[in-house]
Amino acid sequence: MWPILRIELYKVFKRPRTYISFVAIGAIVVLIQLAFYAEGNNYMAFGMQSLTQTFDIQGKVLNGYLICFIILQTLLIHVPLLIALVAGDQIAGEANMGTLRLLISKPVSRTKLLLAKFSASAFYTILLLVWMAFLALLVSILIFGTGDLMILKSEEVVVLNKADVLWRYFAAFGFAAIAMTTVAALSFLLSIFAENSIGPIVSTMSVIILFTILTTMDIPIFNAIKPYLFTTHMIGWKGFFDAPVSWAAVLQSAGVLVFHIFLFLGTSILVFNKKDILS
Amino acid sequence: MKAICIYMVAFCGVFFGVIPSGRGQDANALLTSIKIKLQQVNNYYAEGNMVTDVKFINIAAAKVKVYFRQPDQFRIVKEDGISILPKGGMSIGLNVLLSGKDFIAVPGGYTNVGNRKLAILKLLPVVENSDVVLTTLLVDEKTALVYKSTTTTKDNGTYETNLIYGKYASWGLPDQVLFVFNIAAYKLPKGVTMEYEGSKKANAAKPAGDGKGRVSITYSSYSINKGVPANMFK
Repeated sequence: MWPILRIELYKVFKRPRTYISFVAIGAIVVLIQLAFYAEGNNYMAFGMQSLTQTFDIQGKVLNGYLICFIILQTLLIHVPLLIALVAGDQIAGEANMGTLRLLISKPVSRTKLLLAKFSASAFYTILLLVWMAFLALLVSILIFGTGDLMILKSEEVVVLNKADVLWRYFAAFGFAAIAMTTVAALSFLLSIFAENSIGPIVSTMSVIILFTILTTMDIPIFNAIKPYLFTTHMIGWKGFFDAPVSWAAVLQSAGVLVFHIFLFLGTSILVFNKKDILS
Repeated sequence: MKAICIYMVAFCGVFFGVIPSGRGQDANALLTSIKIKLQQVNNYYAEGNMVTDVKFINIAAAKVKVYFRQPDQFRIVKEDGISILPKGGMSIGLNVLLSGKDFIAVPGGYTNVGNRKLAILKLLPVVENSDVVLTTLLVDEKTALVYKSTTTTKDNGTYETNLIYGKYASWGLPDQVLFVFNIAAYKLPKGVTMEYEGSKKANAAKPAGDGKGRVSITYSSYSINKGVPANMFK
């Protein structure tokens, strides 16, 4: 398994498009940090307008922890596209280049081949999140320092003690890894049905956008199906920033996402093993 | 006839304030004795523990430092942290509410709180543009200690302060302050970002509350009249 995985990882990281994601995330994070460095206080004053009309807020609200939260909130909606860029290319890309048939003619089972390709996608996903964590958390802390984390939600304002924040970020990035691997698994599944990688990338994004709209809209008919959509659970990382953490809900969400990973991967293996490969 | 005339003159005197009423004098004297007590403190630095109990603010109890300088400079600082206090929360410090301000004191009778008989003192600010409309104090006449104040303001609603005294009572400084304010009318704006359903459920399970917010500070120590730098209040 390891030799195949090494080959797949080599293929993933040899392609220039893989690095587009790292550059894109780097550019977005730096832009956000720059914007907050220059105009952060005005932005915060505007954002907390309704609260500061009634309350006096003292202390360093704008700090590295808050910047990281804002970046995570902004980027985790866009990262699925970057994940799909690589995961959606895994099988469809081979089909497009005409190397898929050649590949499965090697003395390696299709299941092993798929698992290696999926593992390479998952590794890329995790690496992308580590890069994001480095930039969003570590660099933000270096620029803005640390402090209590204040989060404004629709129903409450949560202020987390400085000493109680860092572990939440580690947990949140861990959860994000599960969520993004789910996206990778979906994209990987769709990749099996396509002859070029554009199809699975666009399809993955379409599914995520559609499900996210259904998740966001507060309409009773959609509320009934929300718990069954994986996009509802993808933002479960935010549960780590509740005080106390809603462990039951977060673990349930993680469970739903892991179930989806197995479902998508299992379906991929099932379909790929029965598929007549012509390309 | 002569007796009726004397009675009429006496009545008019009392009614129109020609002859000062004994109760009015008491109110002003009581206010003066409260102020004298509070003016013993030119400045203080105190350490304490602040607990915030507001339905929509989830903030842990924290150690705070409290700074005061005459006449009305007051600041609560949470080291390296964030503190959220209601506007008008300055009256957590009674000195701030009374020092350097002129009031017309009106007596309001007496009430019993616990086993203590307290005088009710209503204070009307002399300055026309004052944010404070009316302050009611419950005062122990013997010690000139204020045990409760209720303040109605133009902009920040009505809030009350309950004070418990201990070893710093001789300075008029409380060991514990409970500040109660109205939050029923306050609504947080709807978030524009996606919110996690699990968090929403956890919030929905919380009790409704009584429409009031509470902030209490339990002071562990005071450092009185030892100087507080002016830059603490910038």
